[in-house]
Amino acid sequence: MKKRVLSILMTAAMVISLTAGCGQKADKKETRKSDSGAIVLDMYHSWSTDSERGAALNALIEQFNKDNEGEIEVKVTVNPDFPAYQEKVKTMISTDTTPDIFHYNFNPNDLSRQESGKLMDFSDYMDDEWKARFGEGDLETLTVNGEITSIPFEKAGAVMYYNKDLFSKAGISEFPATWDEMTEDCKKLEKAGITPFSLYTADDAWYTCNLFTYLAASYAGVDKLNEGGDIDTDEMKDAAAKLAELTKYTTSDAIGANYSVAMNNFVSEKTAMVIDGPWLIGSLEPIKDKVGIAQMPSFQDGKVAENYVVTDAQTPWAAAKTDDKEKEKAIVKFMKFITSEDSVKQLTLEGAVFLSPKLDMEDSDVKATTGLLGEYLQLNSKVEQSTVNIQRNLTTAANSKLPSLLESLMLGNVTPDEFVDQLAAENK
Amino acid sequence: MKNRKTTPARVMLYVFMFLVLILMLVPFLWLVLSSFRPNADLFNAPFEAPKHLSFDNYIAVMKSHPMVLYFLNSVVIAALATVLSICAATLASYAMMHKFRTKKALTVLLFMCLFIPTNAFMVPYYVMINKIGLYDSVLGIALVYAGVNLPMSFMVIKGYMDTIPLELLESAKIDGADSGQAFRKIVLPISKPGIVTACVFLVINSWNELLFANLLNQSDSSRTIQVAIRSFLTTFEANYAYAFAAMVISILPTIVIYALLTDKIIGGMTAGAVKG
Amino acid sequence: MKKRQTLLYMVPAVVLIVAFFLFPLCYLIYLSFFEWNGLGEKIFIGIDNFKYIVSDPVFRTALKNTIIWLLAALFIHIPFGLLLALILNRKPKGWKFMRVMYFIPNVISTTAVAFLWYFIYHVDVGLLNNMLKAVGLGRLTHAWLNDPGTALVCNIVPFVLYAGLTMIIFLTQLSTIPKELYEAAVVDGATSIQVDLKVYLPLVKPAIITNIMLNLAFCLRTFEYPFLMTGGGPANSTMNLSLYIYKEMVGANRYGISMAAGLVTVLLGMVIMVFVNILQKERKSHYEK
Repeated sequence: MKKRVLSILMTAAMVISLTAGCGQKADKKETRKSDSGAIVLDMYHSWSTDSERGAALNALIEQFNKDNEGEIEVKVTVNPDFPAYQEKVKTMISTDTTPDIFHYNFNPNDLSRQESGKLMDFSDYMDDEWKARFGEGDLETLTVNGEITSIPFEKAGAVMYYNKDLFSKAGISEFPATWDEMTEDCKKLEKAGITPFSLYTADDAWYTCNLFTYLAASYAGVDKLNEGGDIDTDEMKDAAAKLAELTKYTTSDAIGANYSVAMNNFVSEKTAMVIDGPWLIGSLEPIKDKVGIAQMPSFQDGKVAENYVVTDAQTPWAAAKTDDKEKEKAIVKFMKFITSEDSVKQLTLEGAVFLSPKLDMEDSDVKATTGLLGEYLQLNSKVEQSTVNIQRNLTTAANSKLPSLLESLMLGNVTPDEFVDQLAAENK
Repeated sequence: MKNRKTTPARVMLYVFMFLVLILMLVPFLWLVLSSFRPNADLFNAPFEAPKHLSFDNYIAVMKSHPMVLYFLNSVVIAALATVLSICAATLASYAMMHKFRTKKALTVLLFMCLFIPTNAFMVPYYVMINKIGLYDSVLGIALVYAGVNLPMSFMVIKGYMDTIPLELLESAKIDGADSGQAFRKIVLPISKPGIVTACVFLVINSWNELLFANLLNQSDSSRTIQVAIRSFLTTFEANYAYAFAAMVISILPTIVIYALLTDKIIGGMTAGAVKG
Repeated sequence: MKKRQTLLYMVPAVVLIVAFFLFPLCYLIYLSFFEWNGLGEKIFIGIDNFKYIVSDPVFRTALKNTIIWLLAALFIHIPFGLLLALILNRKPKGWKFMRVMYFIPNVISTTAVAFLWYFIYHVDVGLLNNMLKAVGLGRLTHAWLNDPGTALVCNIVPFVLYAGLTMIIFLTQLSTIPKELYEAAVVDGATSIQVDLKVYLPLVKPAIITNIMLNLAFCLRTFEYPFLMTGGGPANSTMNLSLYIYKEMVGANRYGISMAAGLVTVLLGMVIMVFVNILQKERKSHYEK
């Protein structure tokens, strides 16, 4: 009896294994067709459908699939863990399993994706009309070796969200305009039992890097940062010193925390400030009346314009190279759709995404936007100078060491000078 | 036992036993309790007994994630890896009962493999599995597990077969049994406890593995429960209560199976070593 | 049995060994001499990868921490498992229940356990800090995993504590020891602790070796605890070899450096093998006396 059970189990396992094996994806080189004969485009992105922007994107994809029924079908795989997602995309390119459509963080110092020869070149399809859709210079930045392998998409400013309630509890009536005032206000907040900053150091340590980049821009000026070049400068060292000072005013779990933990600290009103992109707005629903968006402080010494902003990396769309012209056309059709005026408007207003493809600011719906998104759009429309978060221009190796270096800086294990020196050394 | 008196030493012994028990299991009880509470309570009144038990967290988790699918993937991978590895190990152990030229070299090789930390092979496995087109499939992950665990299964099973007197095989041969029959009729039954032990190890190992399951996975279709757990904190945006519920869901089946098969698992292993 | 048939029986195992040990090992050695980002060309750079890891303080921390893990297994985890086994071997009331209970954490995945302990150590919602507050030791609360001074120990604690499997292996060995030995010792006037030390300890040596083998192999491979609880931080204080290999590969895209570190890990495995071999030989010569 036992034997029979065992043999049945074994057979079952074998059968499952065989079917699992047969269920393998078809070779990537061949265009997949759905049962109805439509071209299937495998799309890989990181916007969880639980989030506002994910839901907005999903709605657009569904609409696209409906419009092109029987011809094109976009199939989506989502990996909401963005740092992990980015790593996965790279490994997929390396193993010739590049998704048909995916997005990624552009980094001028890491062109491994563009130079892999596995991405589709959109040059032939980039007509003037389509070109005119994108923000100034964005397309140029993404043109590598004369090839347009990426379509500009998301390009969001990381701005200062602050909890007005907590600020007034600490007796602060106005958001600080200079970094020195910021230090003073941090002390006041702390005295009132409120932790000033939400920061984190795990994964990509993005919050902390946002603060660092704002400080660097304040010391060095946006123009100098945008020139790029060696990061081993006095201004960087000053910025690191100031960062070490300000990071004293963060939660005790900041070291080792990841994005969600730090973000949750702000949403649960444990901290008074956070530097994040527009996608945060959706998560702020429970405390939305208490939160405001403020212009980042500076030293008011003329190094930066009054309205300056640090943006996250461009996050463009890219596609896998294919020999099939039909498939290429399908991909282009989707790209044009997703960067169209209607799509951009929908994504911005419903998904709180800020995109590189132009949004008509005079549009009545856009003008009528209120709340945090309205505040965000307004702040963005006033921006005079912008620079990209420093980490988005570091080499992959330097980026992978950045979190632990930041931790060492925050713990006082390295001096600000050593921090910059070591980061520069890794960046070579 | 004659000395069943309540001596201070005996009391100490019991106290120690219970202390260990509490240390080991209280974290799990805390996890289960917390999973029934709303997130805000966890922060504000972490130590109060929950006023009412609510399944909200569980419902939210099951709604937003294909937990059943992850679970099935894990089961299929563990089953496949176990069957493959145990079959290969059993056959090899049986072959080792006979003399052949490369026997010594192969034994040493398998023994050495036991000590090779396979985590060093992240890149090779990754490249290999991709090359044979099994990236992001349960079969790819199962294959890696079968390979990685082979030396261990082999050592355990061989340990058993070594206790079988060779004369037994000789006499079977005289009785006219071919090697296949001898294997089925004599060797397999005797070494069954060893095979069971190896199976238990393998199932536990494959069930628990995270590194390769994570490395070789891309989509839901091959995501194991462990890989899913890893992303809970990120996907639930630090809603710890959801994460707790998700963890309980992931743990529960293992506990149930363990509770049902306690005798088989622990008894099997205990009986196993008696022979070895 | 025919030679050919015997060899046929070996085929599946040999295929698996070649595919998952020999070939990867060769590939590993080969790659460790190249610079490769996983996407582009492989560039031969001689032993530069090894030079890099030797001078990399993070790698040295990883190596040091891995060795600490191994020592924790040898000197805390295994003795703890043995202690539990010796206690249960006296068959106190409820020993079977305890045996089942102690083993529970071992059937739960390391991933879940690591994640659970991440929460136990959590500053705000964590069980540890809240317990301390509840018993009036509020000043001892601590950001356990966020402090480089405590993070590594916190990483190792759950592994050390959950000694159920180690215990079972000892118990099985203990159950093979004939009762007469114990009774003879008692008749000789030995106290129970003396019996444990003098009678049982020498006889469980095979189980000790098995446990050393299993646990050292586990510690050398361990990835989940540092990966999930601290990500190797803060400031690399919990980095170990597994995580270093992973981060260099997946995070920094330096496959060559990753593989050079992998080779060091393999060599460490070989050192452990020699160590276990010596123990085993010693045991055999002991028997022959």
